[in-house]
Order: sequence, then C-alpha cells, then structure tokens
Amino acid sequence: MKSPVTILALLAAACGLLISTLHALTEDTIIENRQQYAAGQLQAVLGSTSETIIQLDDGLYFSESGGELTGFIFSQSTRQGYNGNISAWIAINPAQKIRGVRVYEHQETPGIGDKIDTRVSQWIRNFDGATLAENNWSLTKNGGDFDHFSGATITSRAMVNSVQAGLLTAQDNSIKWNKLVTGYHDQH
Amino acid sequence: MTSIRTITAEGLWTNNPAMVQLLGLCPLLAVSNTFASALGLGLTTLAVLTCSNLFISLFRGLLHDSIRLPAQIMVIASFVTLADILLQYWFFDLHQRIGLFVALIVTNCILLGRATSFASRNAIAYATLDGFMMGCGFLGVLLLMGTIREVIGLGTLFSNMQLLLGDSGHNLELRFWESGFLLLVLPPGAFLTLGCIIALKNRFST
Repeated sequence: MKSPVTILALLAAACGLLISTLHALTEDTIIENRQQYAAGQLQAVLGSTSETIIQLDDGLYFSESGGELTGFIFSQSTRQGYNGNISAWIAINPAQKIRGVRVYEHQETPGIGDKIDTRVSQWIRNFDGATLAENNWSLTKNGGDFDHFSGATITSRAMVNSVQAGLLTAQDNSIKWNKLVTGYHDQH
Repeated sequence: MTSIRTITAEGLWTNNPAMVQLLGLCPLLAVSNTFASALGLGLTTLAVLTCSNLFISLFRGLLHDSIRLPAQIMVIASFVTLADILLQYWFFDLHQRIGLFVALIVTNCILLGRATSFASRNAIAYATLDGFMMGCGFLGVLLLMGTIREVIGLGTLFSNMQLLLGDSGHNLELRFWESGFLLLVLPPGAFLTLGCIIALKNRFST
C-alpha cells in the first residue's frame, strides 16, 4: 500500500494530464470562436461587411475600404450602470461622427435595463449620427437630446455619459490614432 | 439496502437535491430565469456529477481518510474544468452567458455531498446511477423553475434556444403575452418560485 500522499500526487498528475490534453486539443477552436465572436460584434457596429477591420491596440480598431480610412472602432466602459460594467464598441467616422454603438458586455436587469442590448431593443441606434458638438449629451427629461427608456433612467444616463466620454477620448486621441494608422501602413 | 429503484426515487423525488437537500441553491436561483440557461447549466451539472461520482467510486479503495476530501475536490474541479473547456468548444455563445456559473459548479454542494455520502461508499454502477439521478433531479427542478419564471416573468418560453441548438433554435420561441410580471425574473422571484415549489412538493409527499 502506497502512502496517501503518493496517491494524491498521482491522482493530481492524472487530472492535470487529462485537462492539459483536452486543452491542447481544443485550444485553437476556442481562440477562433472567441475571435469570431468579437469580430461579429465589430462588424455589427459598422453595419457593413465591405470594410476591413484591423486591430491597432487592445480595444482599438480602424476600418478601411479600398485603402481609405473609414473610421475607428474603440471599446468604452462605464461603471455608472445599475449593475457592474457596461462595455460597448463605438464606431466613428474620420469626422468624429458616430456610426454605431453596440453593447457587448453588461449585467443590467433583464427586462428593464437590458434594452441597451440590440437583441432586446433598438434603443442604442439613437446614438447613430451623433457628434460631440451638435448634440446635447443628456437625457430629454434633463433638456438633452436622448430619450431614456422607461424604468431605467440610470442605465440610459450611464450610456449617454459613456458614449459622450468615448467621443471625448476619440477627440483627444485623434492625432495619435491617425499616426498609429500611418504607422501600420508603413509596416505592411 | 441500495437498489436501482431506491436510488432513482431518492434522486428524483424523496431526496431531491434542490427540493429536499436544498443544495446548490446559488446556481439554481441564478440561472433559472430562462429555460435555455437552465437547460444549459442543468445538463452541465448532470454530466459533471455523473462523471465525478464514477471516478470517486472507482478510486474509493485507494483513498485514505486523510486525503479523501482534497482528492474528491480535485476530481470534481477537474471535471468542471473539462466541462468548461468543452462548452467553449461547442457552445461559445452559451458559455458567454452562463460561463460564470460553470466555474461555480465546483462549489455546488451537491457534488461534494454525493461524493462523500454515496460515491465513496458504494460500487461503481450504483455510484454512477446515483450521480445521474441526482443530476436529473436537479435538472428537473431547474427546468421547472426556468419555465415558470420565463413564462410569467417575460411572457415567453424557449427564447434564446439558439444558444444551445444553433440556428434551428431561433424559431422555437413561444410568446404568450407582451410583457410579463417582471418580479419573477429578478432575484426575489427565484426565491418565491422555489418556495412555492418546495411547499407544493411537501404537500404532495405527506
């Protein structure tokens, strides 16, 4: 009879071997699934499939069509929601006008706050075509340009603030991002 | 003492993990808001519970008292990890939705409970059957709660089944009314629903 410790160690080795084997077998497909999912979300923000989306940095992409820059897509998160982080992709054109916003991660209350999700409601399309300068970035009931959806003022306000903050970031980083695109083209 | 019939009856009804032992309430309450996520997590738990019971029974002669608990937890954790990897492999969208709770299966007391009280004392066939039946009992209550909460709370049934079934799942959604009684989908609704189910169960078994 072997000592208990040896048995435990052998069992641990067997479990480790089993997991690492399966991991090695499935890893490629899982990474592919993950990229496909993220890419699907990005395409949905643009609403067009004819453009190529190229990654510049973590959470920052640019899109181009026929070698011409058509805009940037970046990730923007806020904690002002009702429950945890709300993360969204924001797509803008080179003139800093919003092409689309899509929430890709949130834990807002099902049936109330989840109307920010396009699977539930099309509310998020209210942001299409908005710009920093031409819009008043608060809810209609506070004199702004964006209607809140009933029952979820907090979630609606969080989204309006988050998209506005995103546009500000884009404006501040405009030169830097354009340089990154030039840099990318120089390398390829 | 142990027969196929008693093991089946215990798992499904008389000693049902969710209604009598009241184990695994965290995932039970958290993912039972729609039928689709209830089915996904229920099946995963069923698979992990059956496999872990089988393995623990297989090694029961080797496991000295001093290492029994760590060994059991290790086996359970390994199977949960395997299940997590396979979910990402086959049902990536579903994993995006219930992934958080898959990891929590490790802490689901049903698994360690059955490993300690049954699998480590019984022959492989019985232990496997016990795992399967307990898993079925848990799955059954999950589905019942998922159905009640989705129908009353959202007015739909089988919504988002495409997460499990692929594209053919899109047409399965049934809509009974426009908007439901939202409380049932929110966390308090889970407690209310489970309370009613347990009360009914007690009414019929006495």
